[in-house]
Amino acid sequence: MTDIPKALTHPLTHLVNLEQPLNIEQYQAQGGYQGASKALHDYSPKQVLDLISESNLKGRGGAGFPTGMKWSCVPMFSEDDENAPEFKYLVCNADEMEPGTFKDRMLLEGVPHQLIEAMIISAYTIGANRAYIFIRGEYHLAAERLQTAIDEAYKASWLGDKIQGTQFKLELYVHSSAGRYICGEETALINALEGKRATPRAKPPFPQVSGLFGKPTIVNNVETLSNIPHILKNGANWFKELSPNSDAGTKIYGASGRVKNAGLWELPMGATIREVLYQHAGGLQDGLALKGLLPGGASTDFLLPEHLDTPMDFDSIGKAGSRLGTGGLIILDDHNCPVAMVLNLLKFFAQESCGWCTPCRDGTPWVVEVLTRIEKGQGTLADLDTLNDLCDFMWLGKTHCALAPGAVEPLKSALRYFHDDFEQHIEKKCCPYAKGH
Amino acid sequence: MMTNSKKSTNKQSNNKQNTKNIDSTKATEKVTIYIDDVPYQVDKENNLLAGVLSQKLKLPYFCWHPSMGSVGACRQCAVMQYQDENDTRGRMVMSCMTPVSEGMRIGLTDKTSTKFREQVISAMMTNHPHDCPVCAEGGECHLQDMTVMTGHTARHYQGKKRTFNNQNLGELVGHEMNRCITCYRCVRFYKDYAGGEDFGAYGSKNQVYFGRQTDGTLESEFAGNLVEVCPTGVFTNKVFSTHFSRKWDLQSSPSVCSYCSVGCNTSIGERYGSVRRVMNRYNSTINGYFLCDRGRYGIGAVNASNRLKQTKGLHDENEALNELSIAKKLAHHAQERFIAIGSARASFEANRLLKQLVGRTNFSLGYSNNEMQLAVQHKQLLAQYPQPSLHAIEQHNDLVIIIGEDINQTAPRLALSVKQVLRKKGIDRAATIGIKPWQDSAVRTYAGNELTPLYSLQAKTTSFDKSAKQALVLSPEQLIATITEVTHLLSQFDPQNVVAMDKNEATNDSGNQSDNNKEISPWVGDFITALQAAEKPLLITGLSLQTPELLAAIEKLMACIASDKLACSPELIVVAPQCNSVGNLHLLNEQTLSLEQIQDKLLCQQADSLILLEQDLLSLTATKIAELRAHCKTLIVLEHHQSELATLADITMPVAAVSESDGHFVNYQGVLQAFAATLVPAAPIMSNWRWLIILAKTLFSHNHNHDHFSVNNNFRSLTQLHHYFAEQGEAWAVQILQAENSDVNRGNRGVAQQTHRASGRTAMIANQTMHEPKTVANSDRHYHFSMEGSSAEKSDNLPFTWAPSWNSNQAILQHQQEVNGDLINQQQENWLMFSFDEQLNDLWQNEVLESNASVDQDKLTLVQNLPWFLVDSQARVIPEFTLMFTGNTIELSPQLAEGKNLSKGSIAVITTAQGKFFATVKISKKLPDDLVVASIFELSCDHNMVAVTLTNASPAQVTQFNQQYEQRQQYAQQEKHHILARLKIQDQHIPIHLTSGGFDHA
Repeated sequence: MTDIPKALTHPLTHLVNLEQPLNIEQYQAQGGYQGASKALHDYSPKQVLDLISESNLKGRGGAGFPTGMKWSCVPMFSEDDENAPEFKYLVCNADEMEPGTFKDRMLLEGVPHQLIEAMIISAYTIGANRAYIFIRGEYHLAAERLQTAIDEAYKASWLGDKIQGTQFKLELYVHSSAGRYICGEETALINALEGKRATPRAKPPFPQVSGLFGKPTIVNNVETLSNIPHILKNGANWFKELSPNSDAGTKIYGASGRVKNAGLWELPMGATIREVLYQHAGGLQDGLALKGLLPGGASTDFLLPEHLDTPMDFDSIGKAGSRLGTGGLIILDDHNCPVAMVLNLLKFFAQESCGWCTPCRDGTPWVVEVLTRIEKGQGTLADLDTLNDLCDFMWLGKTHCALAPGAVEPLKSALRYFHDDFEQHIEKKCCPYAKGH
Repeated sequence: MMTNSKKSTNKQSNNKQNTKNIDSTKATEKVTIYIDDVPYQVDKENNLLAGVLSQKLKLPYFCWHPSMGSVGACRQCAVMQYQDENDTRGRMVMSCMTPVSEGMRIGLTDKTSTKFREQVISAMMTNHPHDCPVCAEGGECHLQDMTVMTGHTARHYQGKKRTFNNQNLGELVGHEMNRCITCYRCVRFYKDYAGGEDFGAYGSKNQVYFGRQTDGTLESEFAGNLVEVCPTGVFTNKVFSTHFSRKWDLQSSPSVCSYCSVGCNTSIGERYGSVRRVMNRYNSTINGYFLCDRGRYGIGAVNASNRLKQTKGLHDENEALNELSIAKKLAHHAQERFIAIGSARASFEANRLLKQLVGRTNFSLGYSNNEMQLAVQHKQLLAQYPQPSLHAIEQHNDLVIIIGEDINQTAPRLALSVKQVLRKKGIDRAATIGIKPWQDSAVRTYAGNELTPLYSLQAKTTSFDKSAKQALVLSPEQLIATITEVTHLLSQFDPQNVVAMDKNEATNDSGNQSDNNKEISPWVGDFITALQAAEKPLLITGLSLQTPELLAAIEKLMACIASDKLACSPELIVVAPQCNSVGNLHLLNEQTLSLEQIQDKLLCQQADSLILLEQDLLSLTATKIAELRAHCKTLIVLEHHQSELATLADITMPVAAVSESDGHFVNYQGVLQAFAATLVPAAPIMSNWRWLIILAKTLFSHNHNHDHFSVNNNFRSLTQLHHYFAEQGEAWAVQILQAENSDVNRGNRGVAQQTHRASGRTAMIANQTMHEPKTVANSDRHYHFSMEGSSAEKSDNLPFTWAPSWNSNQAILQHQQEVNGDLINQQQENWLMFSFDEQLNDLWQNEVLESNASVDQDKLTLVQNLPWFLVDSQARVIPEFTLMFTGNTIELSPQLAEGKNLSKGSIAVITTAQGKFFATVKISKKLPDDLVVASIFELSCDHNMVAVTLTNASPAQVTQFNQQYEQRQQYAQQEKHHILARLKIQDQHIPIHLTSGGFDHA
């Protein structure tokens, strides 16, 4: 194992330096911009697209949609086509606000040039000449480091007109978000970028056809994009072989909650929950036992200790009844109240609802109202029916976007797995986890 | 000329054919869908919700609006969609966001979607205050209807309700945000549809706030539509709320707005003898679902303190007023030779009857020579270019040119339609990637800022300037020169050599062809390029600038665009000055008298006396009016308010306002539209035509002129009058009777103007008396002042919008053939036909053309720029409108201001023939140096394009100016309270005996 260079086993994180990220010379000295150079000089956009499709890269933002397929929906035009839009856009979604998720921050702060290189290749592939990094407002340091790196890239002719002597040009901007969770939804992000209310758009049309300012637009997550230079450099097969199972590449997994060693680890896609939790996060703090976990951020269903050996890839987690999401584990231990945890999460979702559609806008606060009463010991058994009804009310297909269904996932699974806890709150008329009980 | 001319030119009939074709496009292509296994035919191009509602099935909705399309916010219209007949699970879809397709299978009454729709209401109602008893929307609330429709009957939410602070949005619209269910309709109407900028959605989650950034009067002239657009009681009609009645207690009638020439259909509601409000009345070709606020709130004029309520000179003090006393009094004047002046704000029938009484040689429209020239030109243009409807322009036009008419002020509803025309290019572009027009947010996203090209040539800045491709502000002379230049270039345009007119080369090439010395502005090149690309350009103009030369230049431009050189079929809209101006054009012939001619006739003693029908003669100065009075033996004034002329009159006859009488107005297109009395006027106020019949019987019964009204008919109804004119062969009257006949054949025995609630009429006034109020004699009307009669849907003129289960104005969907289509019993439009009549040209010349009189370098011209709510003199008596006025202003170019030693914010003295006025100075860099753009309360509306001088106000005059404003505001405040107090007292005196039909029925 030690023989293989880290660049080939930990492509995303091997150049991460959180103290002082590599400047452009240092980044290039470590093999940086080779992927972009290869793409711009040796490949046609179509060839890059084929390569990415072949690599089986899937989106790391939570939904796991194949990146190549997403890109292939962007209409391509010959140079003299009069129907060609004035602009196409590439947008990097760096609005990382999913509770329990902090992987993108490491990439943004630790290796900004990797993202810039990725965006050059991606923009070249879809024919975009303008690109935006829509970054979470609180990520001040990342925004600052990105801007420094972008300035370096302009100077070094990796951005701007005639990049590296080719005909390709790209303008790249950093846009700091005003801070709404809903901006993680790509069309809400686009609206926010346009200066409108951050409300998701109705689909179709999809952003690939009518996105930012009505023009063809691709929105990709930071981690997704960061894989691109390495796929260019090392090939699709290398990328597929990084992982022992059907989902290709590596994944940055995280763990938070009352574990011994919360943090982030780049592992081959499909590492088991047990591996992440016990090998890397060091297991739960002394005296605590695992009660449940959210495998990929706040908007995923709870899993139980019995699911520990599930590989953390899109399919396997799906079969276990949850979603891989962002791959950021949130651990619930046996000394914390699951009702309180769900209440906490739902308060977040109710707060972050954009206010557009009724089930989410008025459903999530209703859940909060009921959970608050239950947690205070003022609930009734009928409230559990109300909660189940509300889960149904806010479920997929009934709402305008995935926020409310995302809120339903931890609630619905908690009602199933921790039903006794809910009933005890009601029967004992208090929270059994509260101190003094 | 009197009868409908049959010598219409070929062009006329061809064009008429075109308009028919436009209307026939309303018929839509259908597909079959299965709703709960029953097949239905629905519009292929519309969404599923519209399809379901077109079948009159009950599917609740909030955020969708028939005119504003779908955004998928409220989720109320969910249904199940099944793959095929074997699919039992189905998939939930929002019907407003779902296109229809052949063979589509839908579940409407299934358990899943039924339950979900109930859940949506119950979630919305978590924060709704349930304050229905004190809510002005109660009883006509879409939220109430939808709540009942979903079966939501019990409240389960136990938490606290969210609360908001409300805003003061001005005199017209009330605000109660706690009632909001966050459907986003208000902001979509105000900002997206009507282009307002001072309103928005703020905040997020379950605390979305709809309003302004700070308290203040809503700026949009369409703000009142929020009252109808809001599905519940967040936005309410503030004026109505202060003198409130539930919808079910209102007696209503179908009416037509009298505030401009568009002819929006309205529904006026009254109770206890006072008019309470105006609501939109759906008309598929004109106003659709929206009115402007002048129309909605302008109805206040009928309740104003200046209403004329008594007669003058019609009976002796010790005698009762009746037909006999009147006959005795008028007999003294029977030998006098009368000239009659009609008016463009009186009904078509009244004007027609007036002309019949005095004869064509003694009839005037109240126009000066200059106005007569304009009227003739207007008539000729109507003969050549059939005017498209608002619905038609929204569908078809791909280029807009507005010249010399600020339609935001003179015809606001047309301006609202033009705003939709501007969106057409974006809608068409979205269609290329398969986005349907009803996918509102998707269209707006894809279209971005793309607008249908608009070229604006005005004598002042207008609110269209910012959406125009090019907006020029020019003096009228410059306007004429520019239009002439464009026409000249177009006439030389060679379609074989299109490249030569390319934007960049236009300046050089065509410049050489036409005139070597003349430079062509880039504006012209750009405009001509746009014209070449257009298929159906729309030119909009009007008579506001009162310059015949301008209209002549526009006529030439139209002829040039319409020529074969350009492959386009242009359309023209001429905004007429008043609600019945076009009707009066039909009465105009070579013998019609101008005001100057009347003056001459009186001076030469060829005539003795004058009859004025609802005529203010606003274009005359006080001196001229005094002269006229001095030379006129007897002045008879028929008027509904205490006008200057009514004060000067020997005999006044108080006439019914639009809310109290029946008749027709002819809109800018030439379409006759019926309005019906909402209530019976309080005696001695009578409909204008009834007074005219009295005059016919007294003053004109023994006249020998064969042209005169020589019948001894005692006309008791308008229908009898229509019969009379139909017998004379007048097509308009024939068509009115035909329409009424087909109504009768359909079983319409007169439509009830009161609601079924009025069946308890003895109880309704039980606080006063247990007598049953006498029902009003109907005199052959087609509407009954009663709850008895045919129900509304028998007619295409609905007194009110109501349907079982649908108590709000959304009930209109139940009366349409399909969503956005014609009404179920739609009658054919009754068009006046105009023929081109060369004889009329050059009959009324200005004696001295003012513009040539002096080549004064310093000559300044005043251009009127009053806000939309003050444009009509009737509107100025409404205290709410007065209170909205922020004070007199004039706009000047920086050079002019400097030359007159005036600066921004200083007070100027403006002197015209009408007198001296004060105004605050504003500076606008866009204005030419010889224009004074004025917004002056005291200046009459007809006083436009007049010479004006400017000086700096003295300190004493500044004080006077400020006092004037303060006094006006104070007076308006008092007037507001005074009117309300008077009406509330009137509510306590319920008349037991009501009649309609003149004195003989009393």
